[in-house]
Amino acid sequence: MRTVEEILKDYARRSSGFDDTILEGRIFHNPNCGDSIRLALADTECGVLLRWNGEGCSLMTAGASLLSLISAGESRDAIKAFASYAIRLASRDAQARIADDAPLPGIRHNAIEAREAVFLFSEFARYPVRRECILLPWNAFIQLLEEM
Amino acid sequence: MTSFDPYILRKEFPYFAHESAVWLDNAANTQKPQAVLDRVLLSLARASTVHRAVYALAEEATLVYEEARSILARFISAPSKDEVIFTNGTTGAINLFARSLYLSGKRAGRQGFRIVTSVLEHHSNYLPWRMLADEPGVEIIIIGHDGLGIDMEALAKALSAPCDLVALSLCSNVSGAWLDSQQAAKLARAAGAVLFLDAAQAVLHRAICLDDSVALPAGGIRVAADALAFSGHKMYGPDGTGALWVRGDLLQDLVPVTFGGEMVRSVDDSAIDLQPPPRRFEAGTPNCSAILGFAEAARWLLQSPRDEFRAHEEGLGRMLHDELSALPGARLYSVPGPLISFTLDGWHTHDLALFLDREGLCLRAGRLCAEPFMRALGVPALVRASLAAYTTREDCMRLVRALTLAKAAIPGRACLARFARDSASMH
Repeated sequence: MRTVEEILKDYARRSSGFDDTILEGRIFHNPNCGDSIRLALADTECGVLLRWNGEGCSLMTAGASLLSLISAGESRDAIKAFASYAIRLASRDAQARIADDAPLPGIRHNAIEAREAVFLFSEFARYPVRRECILLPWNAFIQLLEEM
Repeated sequence: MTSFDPYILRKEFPYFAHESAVWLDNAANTQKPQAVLDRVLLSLARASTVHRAVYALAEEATLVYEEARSILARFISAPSKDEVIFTNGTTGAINLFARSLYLSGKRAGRQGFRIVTSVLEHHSNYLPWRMLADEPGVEIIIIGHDGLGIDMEALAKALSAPCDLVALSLCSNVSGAWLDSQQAAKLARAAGAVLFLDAAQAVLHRAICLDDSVALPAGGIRVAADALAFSGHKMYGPDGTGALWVRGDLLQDLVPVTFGGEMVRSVDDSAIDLQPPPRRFEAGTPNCSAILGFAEAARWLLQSPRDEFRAHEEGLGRMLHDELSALPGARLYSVPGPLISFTLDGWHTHDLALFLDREGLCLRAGRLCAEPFMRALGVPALVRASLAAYTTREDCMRLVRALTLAKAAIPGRACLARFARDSASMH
């Protein structure tokens, strides 16, 4: 049982998927604060591999780290299904909530991280401006998939 | 510092009786005195309509609405109340003016339209002109900055050729730097241009005087312009209110860009006879209750010791500026005064704003709706503390103490503590 603060701190500290050697890849911006993230998505034999770098606050860093961990080894379709679901959860209008033990949309491997994302994003529905920070990598990821 | 006591002033503002958070985001929005709240509520409690119906309640509403226009005209010492158009804010005012001025010139057969603006502008005084530049024959020149203010030499150079419009902010929402409007007007006139000023940040701190024949109020500033816009919510009035003032002869030539009820004298299949200004620019039912609250805020300011307000705000701002200048790692991007923009080494601006929120302080962080200026300054974003007449020395010192704490904290960890307080745990 972890608090929102603990989850955020943990993923922000780990910065999973951060790779400052990426020089190519699509860059996405948060218009509110000027934060930017560069995403590089690769397909491997084991599924997708998401790497990122950029300038961002701790919320954006936590969001990117979480996305990178959840997507590891999943298929593009699976992670897209989950990311779309998680983003909807962060919307205050989202009605869909799933039970703690219900299957998560699309996810086959990284259920612990995915459940923490579900919890986190549900909490961020109360913070319509801050949620843009944590969602920047997630929205960017969906956009990237649609452009590929 | 003066003998002015902000704690006495605060008694007029319900915010301070109900909220403990230190309000330092006055450049975005100000708290409202009870007089403004009462005026809005009274208007809502006696809903009617203006410039339409003949029943007594409507006649009274029309009189009160036009009296509000007179108060706003007096507030900026405009020569005539009929030069004041009510809008939904500075943004609405500038969009109206930009479209209207361009269309008027086009209909008069003008070839080409040359606009000069600056990199310092808030998006509301930047995007409407940039969008116009997509029209055929429209040219836009964006002059740079000289430190924290507009590069007046670049302005002079840009205006060495004929120009149609110069659009500048009277006071920057990022650096707090004031424009020398007299000099800008001289340059604009020599180039044959209309000078438009975005006064959104100015009206809170100085009494604006547009009419040279009127005695300058204490603490006021003479402003030279052909058109000017400002918002109610940045001067203790309601959100969604603003005014566009346009010099009378120029206003006569402007065409409306919004059409609807009560802005024509007659209309048939072949002709439209517009109402005279300002009514031709106010189609549809106006937001009467908020406009009356806006006028009440102006009246409240007109009756207040604005020179004392100004001295207080300036004094506190300079003190805070000095304190932050002395804080290791703090970098300032504003002139000494009631608006202080800064960064703190090692801290992302949003992380710092969340940290300050935890410490009970409301400050804006981000691009401040001025992305071109941020780029020009070479910073991705800033944190901004902005003061008003009710700001106290204790408010400022709380900010200094919180920033001192931030220096000792680990960025990215301390800021997240807020979630521990008001968020649930995961089960």
